[in-house]
Amino acid sequence: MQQKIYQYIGIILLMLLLSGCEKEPAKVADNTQPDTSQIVISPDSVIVKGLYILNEGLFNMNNSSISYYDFTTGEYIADYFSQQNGRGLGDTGNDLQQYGSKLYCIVNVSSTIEVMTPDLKSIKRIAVVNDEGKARQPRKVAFEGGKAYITCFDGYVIRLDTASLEIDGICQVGLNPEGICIVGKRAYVCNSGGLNNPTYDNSVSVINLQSFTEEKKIEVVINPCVIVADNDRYVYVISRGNYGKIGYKLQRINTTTNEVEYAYDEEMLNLAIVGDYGIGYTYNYSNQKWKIKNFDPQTKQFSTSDFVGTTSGIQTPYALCIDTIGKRVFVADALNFTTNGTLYGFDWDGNRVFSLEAGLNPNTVFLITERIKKKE
Amino acid sequence: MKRFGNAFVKILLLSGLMLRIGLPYASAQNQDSLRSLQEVIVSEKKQQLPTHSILPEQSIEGKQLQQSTALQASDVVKQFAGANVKDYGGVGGMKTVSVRSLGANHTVVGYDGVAVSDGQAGQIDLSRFSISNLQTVRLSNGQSSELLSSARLLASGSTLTLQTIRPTFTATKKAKLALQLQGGSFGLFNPAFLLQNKWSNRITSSLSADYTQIKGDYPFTVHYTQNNQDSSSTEHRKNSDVKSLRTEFNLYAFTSNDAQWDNKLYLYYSERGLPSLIWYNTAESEQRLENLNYFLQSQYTQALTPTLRLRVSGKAGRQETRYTDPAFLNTTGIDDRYYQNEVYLSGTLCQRVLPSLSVALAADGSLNTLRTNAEEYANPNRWLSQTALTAKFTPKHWQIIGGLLLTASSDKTENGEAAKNYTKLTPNIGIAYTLLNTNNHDVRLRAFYKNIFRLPTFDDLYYINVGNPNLKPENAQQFNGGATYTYTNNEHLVRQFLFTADAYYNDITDKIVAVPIKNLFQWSMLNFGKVEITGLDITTSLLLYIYKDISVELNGSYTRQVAIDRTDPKGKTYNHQIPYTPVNSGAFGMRLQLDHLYLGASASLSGKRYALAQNIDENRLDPYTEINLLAGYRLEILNTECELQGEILNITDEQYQIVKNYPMPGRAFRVRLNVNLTCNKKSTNI
Repeated sequence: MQQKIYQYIGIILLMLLLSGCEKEPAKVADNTQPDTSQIVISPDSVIVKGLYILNEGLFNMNNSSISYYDFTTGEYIADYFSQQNGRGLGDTGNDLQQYGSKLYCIVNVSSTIEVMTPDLKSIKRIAVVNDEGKARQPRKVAFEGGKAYITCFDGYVIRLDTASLEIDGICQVGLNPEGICIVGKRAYVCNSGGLNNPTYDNSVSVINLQSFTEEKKIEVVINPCVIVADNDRYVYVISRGNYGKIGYKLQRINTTTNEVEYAYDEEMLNLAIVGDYGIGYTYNYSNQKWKIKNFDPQTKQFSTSDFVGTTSGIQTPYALCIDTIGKRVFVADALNFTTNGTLYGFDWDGNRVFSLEAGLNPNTVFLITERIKKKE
Repeated sequence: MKRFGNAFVKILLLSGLMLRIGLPYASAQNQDSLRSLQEVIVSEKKQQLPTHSILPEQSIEGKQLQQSTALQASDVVKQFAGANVKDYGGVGGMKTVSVRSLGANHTVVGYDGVAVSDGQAGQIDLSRFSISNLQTVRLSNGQSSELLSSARLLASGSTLTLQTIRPTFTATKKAKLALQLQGGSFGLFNPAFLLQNKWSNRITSSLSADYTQIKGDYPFTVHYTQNNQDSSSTEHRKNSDVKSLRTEFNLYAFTSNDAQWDNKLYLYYSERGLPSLIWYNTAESEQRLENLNYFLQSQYTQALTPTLRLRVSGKAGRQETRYTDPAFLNTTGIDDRYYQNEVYLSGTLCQRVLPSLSVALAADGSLNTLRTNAEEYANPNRWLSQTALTAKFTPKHWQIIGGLLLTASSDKTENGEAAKNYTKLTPNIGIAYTLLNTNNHDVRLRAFYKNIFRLPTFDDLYYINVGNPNLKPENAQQFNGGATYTYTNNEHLVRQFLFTADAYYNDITDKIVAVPIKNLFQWSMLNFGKVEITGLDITTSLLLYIYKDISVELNGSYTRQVAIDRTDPKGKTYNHQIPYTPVNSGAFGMRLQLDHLYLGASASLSGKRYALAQNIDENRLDPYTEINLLAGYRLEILNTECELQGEILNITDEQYQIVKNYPMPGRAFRVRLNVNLTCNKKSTNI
C-alpha cells in the first residue's frame, strides 16, 4: 500500500511538473487547457480555481465519492473526501452545495448530511432519522436566511440551522419530495411520489419559510423532480412522468399567483439556470437518445438549434453545471451507470474544451471559486 | 498478491486444507439384496472415480460429506474446482453457484433425479439444502454422462446433483433412526432426524426433518476506505437471523423384480432477515424474506427388456415468496408476494443396441407460472418442451457420448407483451480415450464440446420496470480438453492418487448478468453482451493407508479463470474481468482417520475480485483464505452408533467479503452429536 502512495505522490509531482512546463494538465484528455487561457484574471475578480464532482456511486454499494480537480495545477484526486477524512462518504450522495463557509453534502441512502469545510474536511455528520430512528433519506438542499432546507423521501422538509448545525424545524409536504428551490421567503418543493410508483405524486408544495408550513399544493404533471428559479422569480418544474405513456414535462410557475402558467413543448429531463444563462437536456432511457438545448431566461424560450451534437462525445447526460465566470457549461456523463463517468466542459458556443474521467455516476458538479485581490 | 502469499504460508503451516473431491467413498455399506437391486436398476453408473468420467465430474459422498464442516450444499460446492459460490454471508445469506463463469442460471440442480426449478429468478439458492440427509453432492461440467436422464438435466451448462440418503437394510433390521443435534456460534441451533423404515421386502420409506435457526449476529471488521490501513471498527451483523425447516417423506417401492418407484413429498419453509449493507446506514434494514416451497415428485424406473429401460418422472409443486420492507418510503412499505406453480413430466427410454452402443431418448414437458400481488404484473405462463437424443459408444479404449437437445418454449402473459417463442437445437459431444491402463496406473485424455443456452427468466422478462420481454436467450459454448491420471494399489501405503487437469474455453454471447445493486432480492439486469472465459481446473487427491485403521486423505483443487468482458471494444470494461470472479482460486483438504477418531481441515482461497465491471481499485475486493478445522469421534454403545463432532470455522478469523458490503462470518464454533438407533426384526416375523 505504501508503495502505492509513493506512486501517487510521484504521479502528482509529475503532473505538477508537466503542468508547470506545458501549461497542460496531464489528466485533461483533450489536450486543451482553456481554463486559464479563457479566464481573464482581472484585478479583484473571482476565478474558478477548480471543481468538485459528487459521484453518487451505485445504490447499496456504499461508494459515493467526491472528486477534486484543480484547474490551475491540473491535479486530480478521485476520492478527495476519503483522503481528507479517512473514511468514505456513504451510500448515494445526492446533492452538494455551499452556504457561507461550509459545504453540505446530502447522502441519500445513508441518510446523512455531511457538513464540511471548503476543502472537504468533515465538520459534522448529521444523521437524518425520525423519532423512531428510521431513515428519512434526504435528497436535496436549498438555503435561505441562515437555514438549510432539506427535502427528505419520507415526505418532509427539514430545517437545519447552519450556525448550530442542529435540525430545528420540520414541515410535512407530499410524497417523496425531490427538488427544492427558494424564491423570496417561499420554498417550492417537488413531490415526486417516485417510491410509490406507479401512483406518483403530482404536486409542488409551496412552503412559507417564516411559519415553516405548507401554504399550498400546486398541481403539476406526475412525478415532478427538478425545480429551478430564474431571476424574474419564475419557477421551472420538470415532471418526469411515468417513463412510459406520460412523458417528461417542463412547466413554468408564476410565483405571484403560484399557478402553472405555461407548459413547454420542448421535452426536458434536467434544467439549469444561472443569471441570464440557461441550459437543459433530455434523455430517453429506452433508446439512449439525448438532446441539449440552451434556454434563455429572459425570453423564457429554448434555442431552436442544439447546444452540442453527437460529436461532443456525450453518451448519458447526468448533471449540468453553468460556469458564468469562465463562460462554460459542464456536462457530467454517467455512461452505462456502472463504470466511471466523464465530465465534459464546453464553451458557450458548444465547443468542447475539457474532458475528465469522473467517478461512478457523477450527479453534481460544484465550482470552487477564489477571489483574486486587486494589487495596490 | 502479498496477502495471498501470506495466506498460502499460513496454510502450509496449518497443513489444513481440504477438498474432498472424489475420493471414492470407502464404502463399507452393508451388502443386501435391496441395495444391489437398486444399483442395477437406478443407475447404470457405478461408483465412478472422477478420473474415469468422460466429462469432468467432482463429487463428495457419504462419510466425507457427513463428517465435514459443511452445513449447507453450498459449503460443499465451494470446494469444487471451477465453481464460484456467491455468498451473502452467514447461514441465512443467499448462495448461488456459477460454474466456470457461465453464471448461476447455467447450472441445473437435480434433487434425487428431478430438476429443481425456479422460473422466477432462475438461480437456485443452495443454502436451502441441508447436508443432514444428503448422500452425494456431485458437480458435472457440461452434463452428466448418465443416459437414463431427463432432458432437463441435460439442458444446462453444468449439473449439480444432490442425492438424498436412501434406506439400506440388512435382513435383520427393520427401522433406523438417525438423530442429530447441532449448535454453535451466533445462536445456531440445528436439530435433525432421519427415520428409515422397511415395511416389507418391496417397500421402504424415509422421513426426515431438519430445522435450522440462527441469530447470525456475527462480528465483523469494517474498513472505512478502500485502503485497509485506514480507520476501522468492529460491528455486529444485524437482521441476519434465519429460521428454516426442511422436511420430506420418501416412499420407495419395488413393484416387481425389475421396476422401482420412488416418491417424494417435500416441504421447505424459511423466514429470514436481509441485512443492510455493512456500515454507514443510520438505520438498520427491516427487510425480510419468507419462502415456502412444497412439491410431490415421483419417479418410476423399469427394465422393460434386458436391453431396454424406461424412466418416467413427474413433479407438481408450488413456491411462495414474500418480501417485506416496512421501512421503504412509499405510503405502505413493501409487501411483495410471488407465487410460482410448476407441473413437470419427463420420460426417457434407453436402448442398448450393441454391447458398446446405447441410445437414449428423453422428452420433458413443463408448465411454469408466476403470479404476484402487484398490479398490472404480466402474470406469465411458460410451456417448455425439451427433447434430448443421446448416444453412448464405448469401443475399446474409447468412450464417446454425444447428443442433440431440442428446446421449444412458449410464453403467454395476461398483461402486456410476452416473450417470443424460442425453438433451438443444441449439440453436445464428449470423448475420452484411455491412453494407459495397467493394474496400478490409468491415464486418460478427454474432451467435450457443448452448445447450450438459457432462457431469460420471468424476472429478466417481466419484472416491473426492470424486465424486458425482448431479451434473447443467453448462448453459451463450452470447449474442454483435459487429462486424468489414476493410481491405485491395494497393498501400497499410497492406496490411491488421482489427478485431473482440464483446460477450457467458454464463450457467452447475449449474456444477461444480474447484479443485486438494489438489494438481495431484487436484481437489476446488466447486459454484458459477450464474455470469453479461458480457464484451467486442476483437482488432485491422495489416499494413504498408514497402518491398520489409520488413513489419511489429502485433496486439492485449483482454478484459474480469465473471464473477460468482450462486449464493446470502446467501452471502459473491455477485456476487464467480469464481476465477482477471481482469476485464481483454490481449495485444499485433509482428513485423518485414527480408528474411531477423525480429524479434518479444509481451506478455500480466493484471489482478488471486482464488485463491478470496471477493474479499478474502488471496485476491488481483497483476496481471502478461510480455514476450517474439525475433530470427531465415533463409537458404538449397545448397538447404537454415536458420533460427536466439533468444528472451528474460519480459525484465523479472516475478515472478508464475497459480495461487496456483505461480510462473511469470522471465527465460529460448532458442535454436533449424531445418534444412530436401529430396530431389529422380531424373530416371529415371516
